[in-house]
Amino acid sequence: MRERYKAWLEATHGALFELHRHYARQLFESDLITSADDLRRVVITCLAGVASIGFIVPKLYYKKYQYLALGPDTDLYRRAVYSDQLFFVVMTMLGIAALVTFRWDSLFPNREDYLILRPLPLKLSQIYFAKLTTLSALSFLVIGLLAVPCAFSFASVISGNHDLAPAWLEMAAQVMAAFCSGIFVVFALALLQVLLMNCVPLRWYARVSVSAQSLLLVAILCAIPWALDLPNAISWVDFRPAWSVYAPPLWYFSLYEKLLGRADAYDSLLAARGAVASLCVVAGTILVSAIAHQRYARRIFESEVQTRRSRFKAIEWIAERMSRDSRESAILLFTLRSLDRMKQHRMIRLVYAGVGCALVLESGIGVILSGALNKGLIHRGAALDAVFALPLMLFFFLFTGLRYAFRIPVDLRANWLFRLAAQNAISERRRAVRLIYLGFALLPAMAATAPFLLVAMAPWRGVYGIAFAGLIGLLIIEHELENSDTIPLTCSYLPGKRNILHTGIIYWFVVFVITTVLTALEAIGGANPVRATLVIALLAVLVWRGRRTATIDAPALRFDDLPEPAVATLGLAGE
Amino acid sequence: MLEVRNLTKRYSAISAVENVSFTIRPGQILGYLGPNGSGKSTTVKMLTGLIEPSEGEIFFRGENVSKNRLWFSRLFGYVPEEPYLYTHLTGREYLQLVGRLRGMEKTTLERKIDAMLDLFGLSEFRDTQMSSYSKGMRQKVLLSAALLHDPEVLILDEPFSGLDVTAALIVRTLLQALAAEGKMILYSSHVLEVVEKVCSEVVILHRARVVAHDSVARLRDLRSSASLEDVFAQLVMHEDASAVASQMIAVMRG
Repeated sequence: MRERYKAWLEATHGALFELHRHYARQLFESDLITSADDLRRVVITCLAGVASIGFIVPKLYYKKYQYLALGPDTDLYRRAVYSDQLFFVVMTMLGIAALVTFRWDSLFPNREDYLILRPLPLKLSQIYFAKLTTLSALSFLVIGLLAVPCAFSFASVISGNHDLAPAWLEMAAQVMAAFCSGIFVVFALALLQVLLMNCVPLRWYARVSVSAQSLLLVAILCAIPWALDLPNAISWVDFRPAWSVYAPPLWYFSLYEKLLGRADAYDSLLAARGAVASLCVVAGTILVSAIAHQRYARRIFESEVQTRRSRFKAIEWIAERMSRDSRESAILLFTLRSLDRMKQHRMIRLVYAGVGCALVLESGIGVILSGALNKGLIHRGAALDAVFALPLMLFFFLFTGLRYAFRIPVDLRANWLFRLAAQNAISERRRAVRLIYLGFALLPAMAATAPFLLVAMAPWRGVYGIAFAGLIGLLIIEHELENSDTIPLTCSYLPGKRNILHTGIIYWFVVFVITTVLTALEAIGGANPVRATLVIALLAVLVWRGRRTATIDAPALRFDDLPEPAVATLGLAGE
Repeated sequence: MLEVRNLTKRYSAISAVENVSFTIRPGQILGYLGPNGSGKSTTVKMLTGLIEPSEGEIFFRGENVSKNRLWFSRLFGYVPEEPYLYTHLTGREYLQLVGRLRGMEKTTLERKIDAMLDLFGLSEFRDTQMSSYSKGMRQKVLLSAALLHDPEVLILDEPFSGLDVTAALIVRTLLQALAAEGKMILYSSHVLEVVEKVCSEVVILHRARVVAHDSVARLRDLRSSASLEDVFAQLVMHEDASAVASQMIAVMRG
């Protein structure tokens, strides 16, 4: 059967099909998650993971709607359904936006694609559009896998005493709203990139494109906690403020209402706006691309030979002055430049920083909205814990982002240089990495959250909170330095060496310990200035001891990653 | 003096290098020849410490290198077979990285980098990322990196790969000048014409083993051959080149 399918493919599919297949493979290829021969498993796992989301809907919503169905209030029931539908629309848009933003550089062919494909008998337009259509097709597949099971499950959960519409219509409306919103997101982002590619001067393009991607990613991550709260929007889901006309999620939610036949005039206007917007971005992307794709191919070759001056000049200058010797400065500058220039590493850091910012914003805004600040300075309770947790939480995500980025090698084949010339650079590595953790995780976390701590609490308590977080950060950094034995970005990396569930459990346990237990400890010290002084003194001693231990027990440097034992989760590694 | 004694590298049951021995004296350029897969690059990697030998020892000035790898790594410069370097760095930044990792003093390093880049005609591209460099330009950066710290031993694996005629001529002359200064040079290559002109002595490897080790002139005499290419063909080529070419054309047309 498989052989017959292969023979059929070969007989019926031409160069364009192969081009799409080549691009589709590229979309899933990443050193972070898979090796080349493991691609099929990754594709199936990813798509199955997306599809399975729909099947947990009944589990999540069954009790809620069973309870609501028992009551007499049909309007409350309807508003609950609408809140959840708004949630589905927003999450679909965010999910697709995240997918496209992650693959920002894969929307259109890059220099390598042109170098490989241009000598083959393919038109420039085929090379160009095949990439966009491949990503669009994948996005539609993801929307379909997400929306259809969700719609089916949700429609079956909400059918009961207060039936709002036939189940098939409910499903169709939800799927349609999801598809239109997904199309809008995919093509709006593609159009944004096409416009940037053609309007921004060549010397600025790379920088502007990266900034746009970074902003989008942070915005998406910051929006997720807010979106997760949407199922509770029962009280305001019918409310349409004047700015609704500028809010795409409300356009597509109104489209859902319109398809159900429950839209008023304003909702109809918003629904029409959504439909037109989807058509406009698709037409705009195709039109601009058709006009400009040849110019794009020319520009992409020219952009690669631009002279590169580091954006980090000031930071590099400071780094050079802070390093004690030439080897330390070599490791420090190499790491800084690589973190700045390697897309993969930048993306890892952005994701972690985005999640950290999102949580901090949510906690900070939560404290403000809870009214704790209206009663004057915060003295006790959950609000105090939340404020105390802010610097630690942000530090933790910035730190783990850096830590993870450090594990991904920049170019394994070029590692011979470090193997030859930096085998014994143990203390230099430690000092350089410490400076990076301090400069790119601890200090930014402190600087970003310190003003809030000083405003929200009594001055001595604010200073204590900052000092406490700073010292805990130093302890974590020293612990990491003691337990790591690689020069950042130069050791090989084995993807998938640890069970993802295992990693997730450890990760969230650590987050829990850091943000809950430490914050509680911090609150104990924050009861009065004497206790605060004692806690700070104790932590300072621990940091000093940690630094000493790290200096004495430094492990030899390692350049090859070791696979974790398959039975690590059973604790049988040593057997 | 650099001395290699009975060097062997096995991967499972397969020998990549088997019982190779040679000596490089100060002022000598030793040519290291062999067809693809004969074990040249494996030997070079063992010499530089990138892989561990299965058997055998390397001595430098009578000291066993494996017992003091760090000391030896400060004394040699290495140009790898492929121009693998961190292409997200500029040429200048890469040379700074190499020099600093080798512990060079900053002012001296900057002066040397500027001079090297100038001499290799790369000063115009010093602040351009190496991802847009040609193969020859990357090779020039690697050669500069190998020479920056004035090493006593040079280990060169196909150093002329991608170089233009002018640069190749400069490097060839440079190698001879360095040898005249007493440097020890291991020159591994496929390009027999250059080896014949540059090297005083050659080692020819075939299927992981040394099949000839002598001066170029003596090898020519022994084999009654006009050139090193003929000697090489006699020792390691067992196919008729024109017959293979004809078969390839037949495959193309078929």
